Amino acid sequence: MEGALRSIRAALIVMALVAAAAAGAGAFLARFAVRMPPALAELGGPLVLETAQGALALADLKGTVVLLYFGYAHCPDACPAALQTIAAVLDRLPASVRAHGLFVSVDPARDTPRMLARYARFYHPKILAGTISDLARLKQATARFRADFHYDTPDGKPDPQGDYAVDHTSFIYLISPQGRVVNLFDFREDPARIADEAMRWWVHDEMQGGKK
Amino acid sequence: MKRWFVMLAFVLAVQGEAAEAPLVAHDAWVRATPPGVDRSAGYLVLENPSDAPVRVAAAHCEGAARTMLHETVRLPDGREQMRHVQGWDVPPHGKLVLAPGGRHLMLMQLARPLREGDAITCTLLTDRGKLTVRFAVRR
Ligand SMILES: [Cu+2]
Repeated sequence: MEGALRSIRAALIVMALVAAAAAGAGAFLARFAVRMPPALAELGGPLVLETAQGALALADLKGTVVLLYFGYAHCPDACPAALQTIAAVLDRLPASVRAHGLFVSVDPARDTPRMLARYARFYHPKILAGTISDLARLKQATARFRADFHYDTPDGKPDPQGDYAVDHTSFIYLISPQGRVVNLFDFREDPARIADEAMRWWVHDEMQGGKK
Repeated sequence: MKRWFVMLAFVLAVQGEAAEAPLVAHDAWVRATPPGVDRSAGYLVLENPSDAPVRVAAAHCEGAARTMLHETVRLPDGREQMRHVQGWDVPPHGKLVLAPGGRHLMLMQLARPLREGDAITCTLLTDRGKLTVRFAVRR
């Protein structure tokens, strides 16, 4: 099964190489090459969020490139930097590439779906946002992405009225149109590099018929 | 801890009353606040053209109930953590960079939202006087 997939993929790559050679476009070749870090193979899984528009599953965004980030709205340094990076990536992608940002709050005690919708829109109209209000379910979902968080409160518990920071992993996950986590970026990464990688996966998945 | 900080700020304020810190500030900006958020982070580059180090020990920004010196650091397990620090040294003939994802001024409980295009004033307290800097509000 996997071998068959691999040979189909190899055939597609060969076809693309031929097409590229025919077009004489070296740039096209470079754009097409994708490589998923093997360590990411197990990363990801179902993710269903509560948003201002109702339930949103990561699977609903299949057919688009997704830039996923776990953070919290009261985060003044890392999260705005990450969201600005994501916004810059979205602005760099050609209009033909369907793409979204997805901000998942790990602080549902303070971040309501309504507030998150306004928060995300402030950074970019294509950034969606939501959370999972049940803490146990939130932990389960984030663990699938190996995203980790900890509330800086005396008892380690969140507090709707509290004034606290949340330590959290701060990576930008690149999710291919076929719904796989295909790369992980530091939130300080150059948006041009992420946009380039997003383009490659868009082209790659489109050629494999991943686009709906 | 808190008392120590207040005392230090007071001592520095008295001592630095007349003195202007021998620092040159540039690229100073604060993050515009998104809806529903009353905190922000400030960044700048400080250059020290003098022959002795200058220690930045505290800051106060217009409109913020509290301004803290913070650093975002990556923990060994991968989490990013914001830490409160006691101060930063600007080396002689060197510079100190505050930038997103690292050192920053943390503006807490802002009275008003910070809007892109505006500017606010922050005062940095150092062991060799104070420095008043205009911070542009950016996204
Ligand atoms: Cu901070």
